[in-house]
Amino acid sequence: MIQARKITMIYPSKKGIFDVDFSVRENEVFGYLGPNGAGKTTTIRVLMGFMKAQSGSASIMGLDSWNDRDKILMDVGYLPGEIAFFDSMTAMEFLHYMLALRRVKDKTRLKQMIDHFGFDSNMVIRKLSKGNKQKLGLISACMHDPSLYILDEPTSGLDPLMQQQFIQLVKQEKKRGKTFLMSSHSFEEVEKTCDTLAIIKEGKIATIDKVDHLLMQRTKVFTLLLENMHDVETIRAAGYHITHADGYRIDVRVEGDFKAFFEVIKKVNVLDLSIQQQRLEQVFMQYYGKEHDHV
Amino acid sequence: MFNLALLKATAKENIRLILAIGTVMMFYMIMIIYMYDPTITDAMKQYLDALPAELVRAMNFDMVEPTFTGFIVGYYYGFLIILFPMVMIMILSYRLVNRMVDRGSMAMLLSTPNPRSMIAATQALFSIVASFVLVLIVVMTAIVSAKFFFEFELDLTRFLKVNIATFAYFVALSGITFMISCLFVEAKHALSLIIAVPLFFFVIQMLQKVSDQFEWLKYLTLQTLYQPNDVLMGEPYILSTLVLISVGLIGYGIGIQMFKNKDLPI
Repeated sequence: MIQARKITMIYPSKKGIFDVDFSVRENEVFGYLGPNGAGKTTTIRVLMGFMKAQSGSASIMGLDSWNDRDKILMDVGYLPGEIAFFDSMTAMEFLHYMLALRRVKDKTRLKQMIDHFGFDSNMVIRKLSKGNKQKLGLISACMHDPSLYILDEPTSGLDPLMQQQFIQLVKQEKKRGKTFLMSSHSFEEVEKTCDTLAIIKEGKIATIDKVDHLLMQRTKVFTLLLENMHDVETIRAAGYHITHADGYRIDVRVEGDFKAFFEVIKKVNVLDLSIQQQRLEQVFMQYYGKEHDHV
Repeated sequence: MFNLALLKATAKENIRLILAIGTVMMFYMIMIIYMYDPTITDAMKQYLDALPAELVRAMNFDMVEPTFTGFIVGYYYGFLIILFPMVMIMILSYRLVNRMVDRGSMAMLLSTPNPRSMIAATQALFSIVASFVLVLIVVMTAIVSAKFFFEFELDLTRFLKVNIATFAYFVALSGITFMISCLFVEAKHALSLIIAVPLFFFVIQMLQKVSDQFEWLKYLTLQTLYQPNDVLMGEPYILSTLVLISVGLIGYGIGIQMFKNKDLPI
């Protein structure tokens, strides 16, 4: 579906993307993860034909992203990172306008989407909340029923309930045979929807891997409150790295195999247990350290 | 060639601007017509003689023919006819291209399967139509006011010729600003030139008229090709009009082509 072959695109500020290479198969949900400024939006700009790769090539459905963008975009639903609408229009006017621009007459999908998201489409865009604007953007990406979705930070601004709705939407669309490329800076978000994940940092791809595989290797830091020093030693002896110790309260880094870890802590007296959310930086540190070649 | 949905939306977005400028122009036209009094045109001249000669010449208040038509062309078409449309042309150029890129609304447009050339051409078309609407407003105001309110004789043929030349100048000017908007795409770069270039032509024209010493300045301004008083007096104007229209169309053409190939950070 998408072939990015060693794309390099450097801005005058010297930032950009360098030798970005990945493919997205049909019916795959591909996550593109990276911190702000990593190059996610730049990559999407090249794929959408907004910018031309300085070297390398990008193709979608076999067609060149720059030269054949008009043909490609017939079948792509796009959600930009920063949504800019025409403030004086109502939501419905905007959606009809987008359909008219695309010369699409069939409004069934539009009605379905509005119902799915539960939306007051007669409100003027200027007065919509950020979450509703994001919903509007999602609707406008879906309503012409494209085969490929390119979404730049789709759940930004959405509350947890709406995020759930979005996840369901992705799963439904996947069943209908659709393909997704979505960018995000939240691991939590992509792990619930994506099959494959590429991580980009400072313009370069750090790793590409199946999400299941990455999850298995993921590090979680557990904070345990134990009963005595013997317990602490038991944990240490089992080979786990204790990153921080404050008396009997220890932070233990556990990689991937949580089942084994739980077997170990069954043997000690755990008074309290909590899990630290793994920050993105930590994910990156992990993937920079290892040599991956999984695609 | 053109996208109708975009054209309609652009029209809706900009109709108020066009009507606002049009209203101001209509007001000044009515005012100048009101000031015409066959018996006091001499007095009018005396009044102007009281002002510094350089100022009068700069503002191009020069009535070459003491008729009603001559009066209008002399006092409206030297200065006012350029000033207000110039402002509209500057604002439109910015709104049609640069503002959309800066705000990201261009991204929504370009995510549709419309060729960039079609999008740019549609914006260009609107720009030309907007200029035409302004000229139309002025012409209609003059004709209606002259006939129904004041019963003055407007020499329609010659008056229309002057306005054709005027429209040609607007096409040229807006073509140039459109080209600038597409050349520099990002508002911060384009905006200063969009304002500076038309203003430069305007100011140079004023300076050039002030004294014979400055006549050489006429080579620096586009307005040299637009001399409404000459058109009125029957001087050949077809060539300069065609040149103006060509300049405009070439400007638009270059702009569209640039837009097709620009890297857009949207």
